[in-house]
Amino acid sequence: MKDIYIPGLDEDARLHKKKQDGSLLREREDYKKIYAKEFFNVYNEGTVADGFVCMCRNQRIYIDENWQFVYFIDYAYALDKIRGYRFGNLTPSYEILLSHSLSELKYSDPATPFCVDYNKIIDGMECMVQRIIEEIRHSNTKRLADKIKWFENLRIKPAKHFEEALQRILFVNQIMWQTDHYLTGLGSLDQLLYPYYERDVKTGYTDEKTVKEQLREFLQILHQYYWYKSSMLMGDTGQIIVLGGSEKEGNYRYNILTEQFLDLVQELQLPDPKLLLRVNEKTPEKIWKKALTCIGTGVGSPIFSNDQVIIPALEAFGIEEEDARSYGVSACWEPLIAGKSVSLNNMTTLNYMRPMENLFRREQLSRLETFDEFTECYITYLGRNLNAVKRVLTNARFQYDPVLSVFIDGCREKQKDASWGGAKYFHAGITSVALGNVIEVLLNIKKYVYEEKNYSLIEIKRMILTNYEGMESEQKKLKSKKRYFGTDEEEVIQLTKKIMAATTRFTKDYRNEYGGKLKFGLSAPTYIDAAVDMYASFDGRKYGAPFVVHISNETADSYTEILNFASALDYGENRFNGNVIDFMVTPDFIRNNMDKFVTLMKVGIKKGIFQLQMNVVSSETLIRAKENPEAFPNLIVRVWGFSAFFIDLPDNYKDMLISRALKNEGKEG
Amino acid sequence: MEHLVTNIQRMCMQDGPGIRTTVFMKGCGIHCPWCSNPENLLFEKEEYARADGKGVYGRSYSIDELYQEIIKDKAYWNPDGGVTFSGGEALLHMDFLRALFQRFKDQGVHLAVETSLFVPERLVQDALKYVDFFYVDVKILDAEKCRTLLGGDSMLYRRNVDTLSHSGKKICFRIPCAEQYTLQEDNKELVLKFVKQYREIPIEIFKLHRMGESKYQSLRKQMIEDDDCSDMAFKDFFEHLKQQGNHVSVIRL
Ligand code: SF4
Repeated sequence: MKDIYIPGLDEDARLHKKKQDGSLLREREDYKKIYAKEFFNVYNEGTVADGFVCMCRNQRIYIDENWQFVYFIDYAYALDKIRGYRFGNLTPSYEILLSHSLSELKYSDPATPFCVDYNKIIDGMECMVQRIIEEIRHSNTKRLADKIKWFENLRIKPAKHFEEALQRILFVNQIMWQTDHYLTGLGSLDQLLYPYYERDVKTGYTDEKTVKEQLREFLQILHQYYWYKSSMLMGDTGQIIVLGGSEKEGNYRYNILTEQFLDLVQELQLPDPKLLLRVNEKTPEKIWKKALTCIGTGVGSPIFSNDQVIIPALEAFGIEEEDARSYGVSACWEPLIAGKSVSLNNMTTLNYMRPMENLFRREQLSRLETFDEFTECYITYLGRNLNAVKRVLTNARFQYDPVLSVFIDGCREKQKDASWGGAKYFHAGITSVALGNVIEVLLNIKKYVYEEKNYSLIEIKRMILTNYEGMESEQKKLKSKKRYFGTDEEEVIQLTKKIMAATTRFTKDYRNEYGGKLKFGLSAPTYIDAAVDMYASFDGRKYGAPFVVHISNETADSYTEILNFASALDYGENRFNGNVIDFMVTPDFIRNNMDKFVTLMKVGIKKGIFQLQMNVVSSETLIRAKENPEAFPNLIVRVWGFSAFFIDLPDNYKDMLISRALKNEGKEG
Repeated sequence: MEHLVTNIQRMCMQDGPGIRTTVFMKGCGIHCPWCSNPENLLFEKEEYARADGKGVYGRSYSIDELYQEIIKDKAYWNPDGGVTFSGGEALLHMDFLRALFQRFKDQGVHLAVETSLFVPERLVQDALKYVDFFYVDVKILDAEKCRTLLGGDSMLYRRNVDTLSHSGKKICFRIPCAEQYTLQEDNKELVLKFVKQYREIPIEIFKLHRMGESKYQSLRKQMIEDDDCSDMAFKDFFEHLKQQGNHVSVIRL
């Protein structure tokens, strides 16, 4: 076996750089076929819990002697039996295994089949812990005695020290990946770890410097298996560490670990794990500067998330106050109550252009005599589309998942699996694309059809269906005019709000079988893929061309405009499932204007933007990196809601970033 | 005279303290050979033709329309940002802008102006009532050359600088550097001598850029070619200013 792969070594991202898209996944499947035949036979016959136990007994244990912590994934033995909708894109409760030992978690009198399975999962982990201890004993590893003690404690008592807590987080995280829970988040680590830090420093057990070194290693360890952890594209791992937060009275909550994480990500220059910084009006200047300096280096982190908008939205939706205040996010941006929620936040994507396309293809266009009638008609088609979306959600069945259930609050108490409503929150989330394009289309129709009467709807239909054949100059004109979407014109804002409100109207009655509600947001990763088989649209977009990226700016002087626009939208009711502004910024711009940039961000937060991420790149660098990838192995960009190495991206993603960068620098119309 | 606006640029980081909105007024009293805003020289509307279509430089606004457009970014002007009027020559539009200035002043908005100061003295006096910060160009100082090259009256300019310098308002000099023009040996000496009298006024120097070239093309005009400045000449000028006790910094526009 050994000559083919050695976990931890040949996982290095660099070695797998070229494994993009399909080849990555295919290779992973091949590994499984070669190694796991026997294993699959065993667990195909029993329950998932039996499979888990089998996995714990058989998977390779790998101790990297250079690290002070233990972490390994044996993807040949990954447990991935799919029985329905797979759980992923979640953050487990690491806290459960920090404040309990494995043996404490076990039911003493397992009465139901779930409890029996639950105990099997704990047994499996105990077995794995035992095997890890054996392996450490026979190794030459750093901190041998400490490691043995940490794992022995894991079986019998809660974590006591900071370093022990780190090891347990790694252990839980490793179990999640090992059991194929894709896009596993890391949660609010600065908050979770601080009590251990504080106690250890007080008693002299550790100090600031040691802790920082341990966190550095922690991040480096989590960066391993980069390609295995990547989902749709390289870098799409969902490994987000949430930092900062808000107290009940609105004060900003942060600590020394918040700063250390920001410093370390800046130093390490790795695209993964990623950071999300929660902010509010009271976030101190110092934290803003650290965060902006970090992102100014081009590392892609942190993304900013506005507590002042998100917490009230969560509460109004029915999330308990304290849970709302401790929110984290799923892989990209969608707010998620870590460890308490199995809400799948990205179950499907609503494509706002689809109803527009249907309208043009099916509607009797001549009957739409006013712009208002046209808009109402679009909304009717939107409603039909959303009915289809709701049907998809209703039909979804979830995978029985006792492993996840161990790490989700509530399952143990209720003696219920996460998939049977064991978790406290079980909502459904969808993302959306192309609202920006639809707003553009609507306002163009208002202007050219109903006001200036340059075209009829029938002519527009022809443009769309023929991909602007013979009407290239119209296409160019539409494409090059200043966009409406993202400007702070009252008309644009009102129309956007109207479509969002309509989306709520069609979705708010939905309940899944556990009473969970449906939420949506304006950001989705699919702005390229969802557009592939879509007809041209009356905003100059040609057949198959990508949609607008999130809520994004086109030029460097539109930052304030887009902040005004985004903060004028209403994210209440169920409209909070990730609404990210995507800035293109040149590296100099932040560096040379730090104080002004801090002001800009603070005002944006105060005015009420939802979330914000930045691509800090210059078009020149991107173009050179595309032509000559070897010279830019470490160039990091932000795609969807994650950061990744530029050279790992498929060409259409590279081109999209280049064209946005050119526009931002005023180099392309 | 029409009072047209060619551009309202939001979130300017270079046109004064804080985050600012800069308004470009159309029309200028002089004609610097290296001007990078050729669309702002004449006071009337001008047609242009670009690859993506034809259009018109210059749009007329009522004071209220202009106010509504600018005020959108008010939230970003704290603590020290505001509005900058540029051009062309912003001060030549004083009679039009006065009401707008008053409105901003009443609201405590910080106002700045970029000016060449080749304007009648009464306009400067008037502007002093409203404007908090002046960017003043220093260009060609020899009377004869100033008239032929720029079409400006250098005595008027000097008087205006003097007036400003005694006003107690914040001022910053801006010197565009081109070896054939401003840094040409004789003129350079004159500039050095001139700014030496105003050592309390900080100076920003910059190299000319050719960003305006496409605008020249769109107006079917030719941009001059001899507007460059070697690093050496630029650095040398910088050092000279520093040596004689001026506060100088380099900016990139
Ligand atoms: S003063 Fe300014 S706008 Fe007027 S010509 Fe000179 S450079 Fe151009």
